Amino acid sequence: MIRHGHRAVMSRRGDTANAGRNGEPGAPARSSHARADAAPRARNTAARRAALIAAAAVLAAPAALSATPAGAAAPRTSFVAVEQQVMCVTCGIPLQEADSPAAQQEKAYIQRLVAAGDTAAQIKSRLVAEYGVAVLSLPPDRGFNVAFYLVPVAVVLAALALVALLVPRWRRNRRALNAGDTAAAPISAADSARLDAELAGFDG
Amino acid sequence: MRRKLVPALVVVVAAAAVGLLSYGLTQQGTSRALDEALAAGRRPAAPDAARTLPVLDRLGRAEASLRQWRGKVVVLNFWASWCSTCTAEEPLIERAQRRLAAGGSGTVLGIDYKDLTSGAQQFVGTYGLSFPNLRDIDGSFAAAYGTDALPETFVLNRRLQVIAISRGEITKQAWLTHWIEQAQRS
Repeated sequence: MIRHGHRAVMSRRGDTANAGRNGEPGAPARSSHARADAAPRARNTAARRAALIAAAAVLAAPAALSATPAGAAAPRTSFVAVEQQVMCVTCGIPLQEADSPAAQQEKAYIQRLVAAGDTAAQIKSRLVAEYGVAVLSLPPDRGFNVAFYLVPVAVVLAALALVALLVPRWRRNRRALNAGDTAAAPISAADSARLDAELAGFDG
Repeated sequence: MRRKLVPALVVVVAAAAVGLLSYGLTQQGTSRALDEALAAGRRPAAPDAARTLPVLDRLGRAEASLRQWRGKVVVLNFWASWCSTCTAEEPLIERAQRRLAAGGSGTVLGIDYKDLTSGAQQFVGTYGLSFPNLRDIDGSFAAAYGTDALPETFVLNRRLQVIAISRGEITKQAWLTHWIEQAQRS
């Protein structure tokens, strides 16, 4: 299509130039004149043609890309990137570490989808449709799976709360203990008298 | 008040952690309740009989449950296209299906376990399986039968009670024939 259209334009331009410069077309002198400037005009024509072809190619590129069959699409993710995010459904270990027959089937399926140009999200969605959510390394944050994300946060918060409650108490106790060490407890009069008596015994 | 709050908080967190761990462990384990019931001379009801599963050959358009075959003898066969021993067993299973279908007394019901749809459909075509197949996408139906390895076969009587279990490949047609006859009588 493009080549045909291009040709038609070049042909019309040539006719118009001849008519404008030489008056009536068809006379011999005019004909030779036309042949004399044929070389530079051919160069100009070739340059214009090349420019038009380049422009057409640039304009047609997005359309050509969108018209590419799915089977020949450029990969939008890698096999390794997807493999790291999914599990072997029969072995319960990450797919990249699994080599069971079911894992081989999963891997081959992922490779087909990667080659077909699916994104990682699309591939994971297809895997979930085929094998259920257990195929994902990180479960979706719905239902009981929410516990997977909330429990670690809750444990950390509980630990921080515990520390916040206990540290001031420990500090108070430590302070009280230190104060008890330095300030001598008052001694009763009876004890004082007994102590004096015993010390006097040593002196004697 | 504050003095009691801290131990209470610790107890609640510890109890929650233990509960979560227990739940996880019970979900991981393989149940052998059916085997134990059979060994004790009982005929346990087939688990999850009312649960609907997608039909393999009409995927996305139809679902079926085991309960639909109540009144018929059912040979419940768990398989997958990636399972090499399943391929060895399928001729025996298909022969049993043809016999059951000819007599009109029952059916083999295949349960395709954690399998790729296209692979399963190809498997059915390759081995010429004429019995209906349901898809157990996440393996939770199989888990109710204590199945976590393939192939496994359960023979159910007309009341959908389990009367025989084969955990592993069936190598002798006689085993199937015997238990199908038993199921027809009970």
